[in-house]
Amino acid sequence: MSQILCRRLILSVFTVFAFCARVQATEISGTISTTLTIYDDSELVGDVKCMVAGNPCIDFGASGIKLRLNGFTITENITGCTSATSSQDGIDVGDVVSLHDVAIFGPGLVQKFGGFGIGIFGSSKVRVEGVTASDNCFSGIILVGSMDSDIERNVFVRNSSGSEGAPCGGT
Amino acid sequence: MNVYSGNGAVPSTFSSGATSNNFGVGLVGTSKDNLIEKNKIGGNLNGVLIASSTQGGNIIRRNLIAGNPPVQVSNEFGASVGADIQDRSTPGANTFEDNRCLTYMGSVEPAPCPSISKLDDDEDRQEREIAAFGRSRLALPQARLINAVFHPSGGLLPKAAASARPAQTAASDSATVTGKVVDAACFMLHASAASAASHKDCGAACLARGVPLAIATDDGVLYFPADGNQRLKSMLNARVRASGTVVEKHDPMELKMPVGDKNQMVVRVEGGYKQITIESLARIPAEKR
Repeated sequence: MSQILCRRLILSVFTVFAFCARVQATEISGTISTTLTIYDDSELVGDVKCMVAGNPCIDFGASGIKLRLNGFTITENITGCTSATSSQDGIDVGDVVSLHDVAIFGPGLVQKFGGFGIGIFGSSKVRVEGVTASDNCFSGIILVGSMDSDIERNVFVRNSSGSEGAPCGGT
Repeated sequence: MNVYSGNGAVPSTFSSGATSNNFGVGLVGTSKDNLIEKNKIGGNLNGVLIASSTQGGNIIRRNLIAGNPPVQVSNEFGASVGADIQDRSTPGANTFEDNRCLTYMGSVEPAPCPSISKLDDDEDRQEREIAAFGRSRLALPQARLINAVFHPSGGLLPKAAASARPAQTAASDSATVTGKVVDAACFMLHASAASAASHKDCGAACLARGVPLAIATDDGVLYFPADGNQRLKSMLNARVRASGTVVEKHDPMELKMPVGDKNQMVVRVEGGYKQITIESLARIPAEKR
């Protein structure tokens, strides 16, 4: 697992410089083919289909912001869980720099990602509420080196189907 | 509360007798001082997994953890494949409190599972009961009580209640009151239930917790004894005749009624009430009723 995480971090840093566009928009829907980094309060206004190879679909780029799923679904629809898909998370917080006071509010579904449904890395005071994470290859939500976070009233179903020995699961 | 269900898969390299490290809720790495509370965790390879590398101080309490792993999985891969709680940490490093669970793998003695008791301590259930009780019992009866029976002005008493008033109701006048000794708080919420014989045990429990008793006349007027429950407590649900001085009290009164072991409902009586300083009190034998 630690090897996987290390690889993830390296790839993510590369992603920031090479692919990510700064996005101010607050409304998200449709197909995402390169990592969408949000810097302001954002919300889904329709279902999202993710086709981001080797990187997270949506990434938090600033502290003090919220993402509202508004009942919509974020889907990657991965067809096979392999180590190559392990960096393809649904939503990441703090995988590049540590963040604080960010929130992800449901209802909403994050499903079928090759990595984690939601990854929270080295951050603090992260709130995830009312989200369903389902059928992701690794954990539904994972907290790594994070503190003072609140994971409340979420549903985690059928995650970690492809963890192959890594300690993964719901949260 | 989070819900964890069906998480985890047995790896392709799994050998019989081994243990899975997948979970519904996992404390891995150097996790410490976390609170895992009031979650429903079922059908995962392990319900709660605590890795040996954790730093302690984690509290796992009031969770419902059952069916981990699913029975078909344990049949196929062996019972050791997982448990409701798989605890690889140092005994005593973490705290398990009031979980409902069936299987435990770890070194804590006594094991925190199986544990299927503590139903009466379920705060969620008590909160629901209080809310439902308030919705179904409080709204309408309270309006009836405040506006009809306990209003200080005799002129606003309903006709039936007025006829039940004792011969003299002027302030500080002597009167004789005939009625049934009831748990006052319950009576105000649901008079017929409080007067029923089946309520006697419940009323006794309320009495033991300090709920005030009163004499309820046939027409629903309550007379609260000035000296508290002392003289009435041995007569709960009995029919009595009390003579003494009756006064109209105009201050609001709060009656506290226990709900469950830890909670209570407060019924506020506004508009005044009747208080009797009992000088003589007699139980009316059943054959004379």
